[in-house]
Amino acid sequence: MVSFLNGKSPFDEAEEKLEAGETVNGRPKMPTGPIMGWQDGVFLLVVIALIVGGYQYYQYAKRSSAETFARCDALYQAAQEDPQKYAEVEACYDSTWELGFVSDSMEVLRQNRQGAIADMRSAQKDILEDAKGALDEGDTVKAVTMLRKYAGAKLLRPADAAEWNKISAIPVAE
Amino acid sequence: MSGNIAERVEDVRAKFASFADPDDKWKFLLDLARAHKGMDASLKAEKFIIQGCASTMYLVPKFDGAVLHFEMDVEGGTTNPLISRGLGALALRVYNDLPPSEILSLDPVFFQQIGLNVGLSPTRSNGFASLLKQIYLYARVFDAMSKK
Repeated sequence: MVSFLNGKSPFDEAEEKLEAGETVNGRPKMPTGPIMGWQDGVFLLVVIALIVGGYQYYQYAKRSSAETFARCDALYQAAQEDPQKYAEVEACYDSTWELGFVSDSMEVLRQNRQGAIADMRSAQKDILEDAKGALDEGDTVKAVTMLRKYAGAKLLRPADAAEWNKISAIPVAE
Repeated sequence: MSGNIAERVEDVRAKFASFADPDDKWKFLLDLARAHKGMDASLKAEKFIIQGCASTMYLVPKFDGAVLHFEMDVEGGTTNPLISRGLGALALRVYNDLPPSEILSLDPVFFQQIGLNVGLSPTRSNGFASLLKQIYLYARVFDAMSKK
């Protein structure tokens, strides 16, 4: 156990000395030794360093999160003009999972933006499924045109994206 | 959560009515998600996956002859699908550990009436609808079993 006062408070010591008759001008003789040993001093310094360091790290983590989320938000705003940037937005929000600090408001924003991007991917996947359906029915032109005309965000997972590219590369007379 | 289904519904309705800011609903779902305990990995079989969810949601039923208990968990790969988990936890808050007949007595349109679907992305909305569909399916099956 660590003790700053060697197990005894100066007041207790003074009281004991008063009871033992050790007085100076009628007052109990106060202890004259150091208030704490060097080990206690080092311990105290370490505790203070940990508190200060922890606070500094917390401030750094907060600042870093705010900057990352601001960057993702700027990308999101840009993607609303240019849907091809949604892949970058998704990558940006994915990178926020590494952050040490995320407030509730940031979490709500992240979840909603990722949800919106998941919806776009789902919409693109639906178009791919429709195109595959058209191919199965032998309507190659319809399938290829459907994919080539698509101007929305391209967010398909690699396997689906490969299928998308394969179908849209089929040569047809438009 | 304890109480009969009417008390639970009233509790959830009151909670949603107390939201002053649109973000409060999401924060409530985040809190539910964070407080929700997942399930044992051994229970995560493919047959328990809810179809139609963007994330992988598991719903495992357990019927003891009186009440229907559910275990639920959501996996999202590299992300943490807190809203989806929160939606699952909300459904369990209403339906868990009740007799199947009591589950069937509630019209799930209640969730729309309290405004849960407002602002919910279509993918999550569909996922939640699939979850409810599965809960009612289990309730119907176990209700029929308990009446035999």
